[in-house]
Amino acid sequence: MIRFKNLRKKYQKNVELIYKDYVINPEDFIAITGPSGSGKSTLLDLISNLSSPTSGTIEIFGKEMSFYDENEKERTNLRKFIGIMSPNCQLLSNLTIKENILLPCIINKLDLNSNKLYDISSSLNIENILDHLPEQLSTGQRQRALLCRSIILTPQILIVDEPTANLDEINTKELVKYFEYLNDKLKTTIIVATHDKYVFDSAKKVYNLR
Amino acid sequence: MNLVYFLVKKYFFSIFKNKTLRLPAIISLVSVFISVFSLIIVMFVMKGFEVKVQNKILSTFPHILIEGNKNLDSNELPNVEKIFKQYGTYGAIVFGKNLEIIELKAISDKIQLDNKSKKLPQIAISDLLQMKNNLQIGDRVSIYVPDFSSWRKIKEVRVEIGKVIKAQGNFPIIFFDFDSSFRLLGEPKIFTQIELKNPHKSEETISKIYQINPELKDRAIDWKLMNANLFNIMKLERFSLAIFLSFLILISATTIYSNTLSMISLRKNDISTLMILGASKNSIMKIFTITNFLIAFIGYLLGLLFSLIVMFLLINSNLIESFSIDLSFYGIKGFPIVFSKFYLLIITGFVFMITFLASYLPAKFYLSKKAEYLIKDYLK
Repeated sequence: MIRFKNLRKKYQKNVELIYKDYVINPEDFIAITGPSGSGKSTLLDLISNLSSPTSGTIEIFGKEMSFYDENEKERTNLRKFIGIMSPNCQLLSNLTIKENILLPCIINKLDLNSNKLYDISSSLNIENILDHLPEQLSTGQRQRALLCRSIILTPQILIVDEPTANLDEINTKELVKYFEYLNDKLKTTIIVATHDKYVFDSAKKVYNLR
Repeated sequence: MNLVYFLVKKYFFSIFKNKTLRLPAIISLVSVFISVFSLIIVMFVMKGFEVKVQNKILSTFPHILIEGNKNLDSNELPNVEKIFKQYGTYGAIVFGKNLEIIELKAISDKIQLDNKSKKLPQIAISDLLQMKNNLQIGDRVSIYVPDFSSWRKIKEVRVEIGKVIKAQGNFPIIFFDFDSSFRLLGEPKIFTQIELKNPHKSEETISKIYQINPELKDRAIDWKLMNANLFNIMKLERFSLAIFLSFLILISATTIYSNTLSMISLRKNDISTLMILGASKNSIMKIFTITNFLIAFIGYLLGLLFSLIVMFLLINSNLIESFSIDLSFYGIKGFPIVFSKFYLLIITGFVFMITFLASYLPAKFYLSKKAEYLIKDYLK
């Protein structure tokens, strides 16, 4: 599903991140771990096609990333199959939680069955705050709303960057439980960059960066 | 639901709720409103002035004037209403110690005076001359006219007032019977005047006259050429005012430009999110362009609405008269303001083009950056 080879990413002037070759298969639940600055978020950006490598190749759904880079339509299409939950992808402050969650459907011009919205939001326990604005929500509720938005199109891959940062233990457990549910029941491939031991323990595989 | 429509609606109304964006947006809206309002009112007044002066000229001046006593057939020429001859010179009339310079005219078919039963030749005077000198029908007066055949170069002609004619213009006129003018005023200089059905198509008639009568080449002059200097000055005046007022639109556009920049700066987070979720750069660009262009559009609509209301009030009320603005100098009646579709189209096109560019360019420049940069930019 995702394969990267000889992957390198240079940032700032003299810092270069070198990633060992790896293959991510369908239905994997992978935790990417490593100390701060080891390149966890950068790797997620490379896999999500939000950033380009300095050298090396990334293959996703059988096609090299350069194929998506050269074609804006294909690149936009790719977004339908990848759910992203990261600090770069926040809730839009002018939109209600419901509108934020439905944003991927609006962008991709898809009609959403209201039952699906209700099912996902109630499974994440946010069904009562759908008409609220993001500023009225707690950090935990906001994280769950972001997760809800990232899975609204039932993506094949879910890429999550530090989902439990700023969350208390109860909220962390609830979120991880939901990742397990997505991976086990909906067969979603989950790639999560984390420092959190609880998330790390739940993952089926670990990709460690030094 | 369309993403662009959905977010434009959300962003547009949020502008007026956001403390940072509200004031610049209101300033932009008001400045576009004032610019459009001033431009429309000034251009419509200039148009009204042009139309009224043109009408005044058309009612005072001959539409086509040809030097010489040439007999033209109106059936052979296009667009001709009437052809007549005119004699014209200047003279003076004396009342006690006062001498008044007057225009002496004789127009064929226009002035009919009964000279047979009277001892003195009959004349008609303009109402202005009558009013200024309190003259009555039957009064006998002496007029002095040029006479280059005698050594005195001037001769006195005794005449009797037979008619008072309402005449255009601010100069006193005495009208003679066309045939008797030859006898009384000496060798006349005669012009052939042509009255046209549509004076704006005078070139067509002139070219036909030249075609039929090549000997008249360059001897015909139409009302436009007679008043070319006046029309050119009016055109220059209109053009200068339009240029000057266009600067107001340009200033308004700079406020729209700065609004778009502020909005992009405040919404970098949203741009990053939308790009990650799969929105194309093009649709994000449309969202920011349309949202800011809408501010200018509302300013334009308000400017148009207010200018039409003011125009209606100026035409249908005595507002200008109550300010005692004297327009008699120009010889026109009523406040000169006319609705002009052409000027409205030009103003609308100009305002839309400038304000659209002011909304589009900042969005275009920002979104032309690499996606990677746009996604990370708000974190900086």
